[in-house]
Amino acid sequence: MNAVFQALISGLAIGSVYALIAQGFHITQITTNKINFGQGDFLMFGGMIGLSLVGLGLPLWAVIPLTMAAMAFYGALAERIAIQSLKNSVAVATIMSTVGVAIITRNVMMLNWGRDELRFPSPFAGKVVKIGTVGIQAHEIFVFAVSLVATFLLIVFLQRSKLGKALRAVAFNPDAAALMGISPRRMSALSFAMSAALAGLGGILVGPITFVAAFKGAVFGLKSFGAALLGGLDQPGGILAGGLILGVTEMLSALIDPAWKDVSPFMLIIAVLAISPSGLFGRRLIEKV
Amino acid sequence: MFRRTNTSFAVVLILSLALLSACGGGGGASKPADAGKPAAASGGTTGNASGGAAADAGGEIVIGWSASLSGGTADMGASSKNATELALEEYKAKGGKLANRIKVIYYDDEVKPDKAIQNITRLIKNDKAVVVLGPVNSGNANATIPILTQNKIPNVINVATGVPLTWEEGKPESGTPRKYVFRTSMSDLGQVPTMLKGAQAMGIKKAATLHDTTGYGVFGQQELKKRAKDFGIEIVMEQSFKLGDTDMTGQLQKAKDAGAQAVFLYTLAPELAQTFKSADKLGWYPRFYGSWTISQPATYKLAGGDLVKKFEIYMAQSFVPEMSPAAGEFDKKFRAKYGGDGFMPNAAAQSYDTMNLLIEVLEKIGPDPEKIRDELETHSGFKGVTKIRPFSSKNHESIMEEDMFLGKLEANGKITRVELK
Repeated sequence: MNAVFQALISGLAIGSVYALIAQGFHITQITTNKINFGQGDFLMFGGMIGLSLVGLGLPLWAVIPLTMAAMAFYGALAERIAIQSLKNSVAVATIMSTVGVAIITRNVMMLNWGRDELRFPSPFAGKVVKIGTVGIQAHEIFVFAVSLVATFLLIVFLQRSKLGKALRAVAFNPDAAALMGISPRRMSALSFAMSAALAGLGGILVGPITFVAAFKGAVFGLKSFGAALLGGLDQPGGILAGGLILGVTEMLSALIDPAWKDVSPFMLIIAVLAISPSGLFGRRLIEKV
Repeated sequence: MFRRTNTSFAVVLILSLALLSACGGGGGASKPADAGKPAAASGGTTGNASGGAAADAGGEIVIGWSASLSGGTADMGASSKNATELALEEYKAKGGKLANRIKVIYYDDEVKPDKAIQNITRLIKNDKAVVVLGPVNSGNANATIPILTQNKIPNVINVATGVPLTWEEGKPESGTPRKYVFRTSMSDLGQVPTMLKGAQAMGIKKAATLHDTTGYGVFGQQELKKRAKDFGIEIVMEQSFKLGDTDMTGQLQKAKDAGAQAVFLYTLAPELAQTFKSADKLGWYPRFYGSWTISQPATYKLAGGDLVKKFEIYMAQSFVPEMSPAAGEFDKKFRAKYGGDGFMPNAAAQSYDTMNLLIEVLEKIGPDPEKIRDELETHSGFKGVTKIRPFSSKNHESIMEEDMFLGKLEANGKITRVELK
């Protein structure tokens, strides 16, 4: 029973990281109806940049905004090259080009940081908190908290702020939005920048838990996308739930057999989508590519 | 017209992105890995190697090397490559008979069995290698043995330690070694009893095993299960995880609940570090015994001194510089040239000996793969920096159980030899 509780807590921790990355999918989806399949590699890229900045001796409160800014710039650049130039093509074209961006990002990381796994020191220095017999790292609690706060801020931003509404308007009807003085091109770039910045934050958060390595991003991206589909691509709250459910499913199934660890989350996603195609909490039917 | 231009532009962009990424290496793809050391590593396009069963025509002699230069055992692969290069460089420096003819081609197998198969196929078919060195990972070795055997190219394993590799049908009980597979690294056949003996001496009666699902982990765990009772140890829980997993708390909790006093580990550096982290999270500090991967520099680097300090971590070992003058000298020489960071002494020393042994064999018998194989079985008198012993038709292992001992991973990262009472 102990093992089950432990798996539950660990699952919530890693699930909150999936949720954070998945929010990035949400932002680009609601703005441009496009998915950035490089989100996982963006996560690792952010982690690597953060690691280098930490290595230079900068404190975490400086590293986080700097990394997010760098990633935002990178995201906007990727959008300009990979998305903007294909805006009159079929949807598949942008999927392929984001995959291309992902591969390029991965190789840039390998060239710069090598192929080994690198240790990311946590600001909490491995401190462990005990809830009964179950142990959770202080860092994992921090990650969970940040993920909750980020989701909340995102919802508020998108629903209440003018910029947030502009972002949503552009996906809804780009022409009408343009007539209202909202530039779809700018919003598109902004959405990718925001999504990349979130991925960068995710990378710094997840680094101390999983180590950073150039090739690790892809799997994160895939699982996070799954979390987004599970929860409903158009609901940040649903995405948070989706991420948590995914993380917990993973950890619990590992207890039965580690082979189930990668299989069960995806089986769950397929099952949920078969019953409710827009995810558990999604409201809009997402256009299937 | 505008639309058409856009579509074709899109096609061109996608194609160029795809091309770029293919050139970028997709993880080192099938390009030979040249790590900036000019000596021996370069792309193999010269097809003049006198491979196959042809008589020695005086051309290039190609030695193939395929192992992990990336992934969890990258440090072992890099150490092996550097040591192999060092041996060849020294041979060239003293003007050896075949100095101008021997060439080593290095490929990265990324710890992936299908990549390993790709590399070996390329080495045999394109590069005409007469003998193949490596790999690091037992799963990869297992995957490539069939092609090597089929093509009658001898494989000298200089790092991998899985028990079944050198034995016919993977069964040491058969007493018949695989004709084309030799090993200069420690076999788990010796590592496992070394670990068990150490645990027994420290009073362990109940233990759990935790391994990864690669060939290495599975072979190791099988051997542990087989031998544990010989040392009075009961395996109360067996758990596993996949390579790349970052949380072993569930598995460790089960082991703890089953009453294990110690945990036997069979996996690679990143997963070892995660296991220690997970145990710390649980607040459980059993004694850990493992294979030599615990002495990978990456293990200590990823776990960190503060974490290692909380545990007692032991491993099976066969090489410390103090063990002989030759060993000490090699250690110094290697560090001077390649630095101490990421240096895996066993992998390097074994690879150094392997290359030197091969040079001796090639000088004596020439580059015919079948003759090389036969000579390896009968060659004697080679002096290495490891405990390397001659092979025979009945035994293709060179480092035996009696050459191994228990080592401890200290809080400062050093490996010390443990004297058992």
